Amino acid sequence: MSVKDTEITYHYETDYLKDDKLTELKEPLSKALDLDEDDFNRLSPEVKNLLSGRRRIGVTWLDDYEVVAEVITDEGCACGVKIGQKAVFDMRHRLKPELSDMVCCMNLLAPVLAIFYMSFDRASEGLNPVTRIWTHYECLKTNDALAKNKARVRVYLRDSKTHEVITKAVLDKTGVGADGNGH
Amino acid sequence: MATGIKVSEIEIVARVAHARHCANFIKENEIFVFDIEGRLLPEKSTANLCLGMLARIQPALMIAKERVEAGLEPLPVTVPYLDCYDTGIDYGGMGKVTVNLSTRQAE
Repeated sequence: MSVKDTEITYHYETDYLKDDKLTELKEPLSKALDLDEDDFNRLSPEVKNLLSGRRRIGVTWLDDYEVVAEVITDEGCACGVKIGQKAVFDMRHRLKPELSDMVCCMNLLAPVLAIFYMSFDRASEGLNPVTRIWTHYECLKTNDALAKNKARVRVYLRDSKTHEVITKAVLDKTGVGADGNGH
Repeated sequence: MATGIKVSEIEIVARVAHARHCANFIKENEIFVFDIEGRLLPEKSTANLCLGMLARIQPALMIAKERVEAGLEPLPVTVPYLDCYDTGIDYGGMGKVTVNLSTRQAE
């Protein structure tokens, strides 16, 4: 059976901001990131979508939430990571050492970066920035126990002020849907 | 090899050599400091602790540990630069930070 061209959906068709001038962001963003007119005008559709999370889940969303990586197993860890300890990140994927109580072992924390690849994408669709699927991460070191014993973390989103865990699937405050048209 | 320095006192320093349009406001000459076990030392670091940069350094920390255990200099002699995971403004991203790795004795 043939498929009409109009029935084929490519991912890039969801880059609905490609012609958006991001007017309300231009001045503060240019100032903060040292962008001149040419820089700003050549922002890619991808990064425009990244920046659009503020339109969906709130202008202050990057400050409203935190990502917590809580240790759930520590057997075999030689770095001093203990069950129950936490590493806290802001939504710009910066570690907040003042709120973290685990040693900052990069072998355990580096994989958590994947959360933030997803978080901006999900926020731009109005979703909870933290995935409901890829929530567990483990140490990159494989020891003699053949990866049975590892430090592992479970990752979740929390309110940065109250520290309430946020499990709601959709945080969209606009109701416009993922494609901007209610869908 | 860092002559006369105990292995446990070796610190890996990633100094920012270049930063452009970084959304986490990382600036040149700021540093990230790690111990030889691969642990970030926030109290000795001056840069914002961006995971997009830190995660890129992590493999180098494993290599440094391996080399020290083998009695070698912690860092390889090949190009000592690492750049962050942001692909930069011309390639679908926003900023770009590059660090230069070196070692020092813990104070």
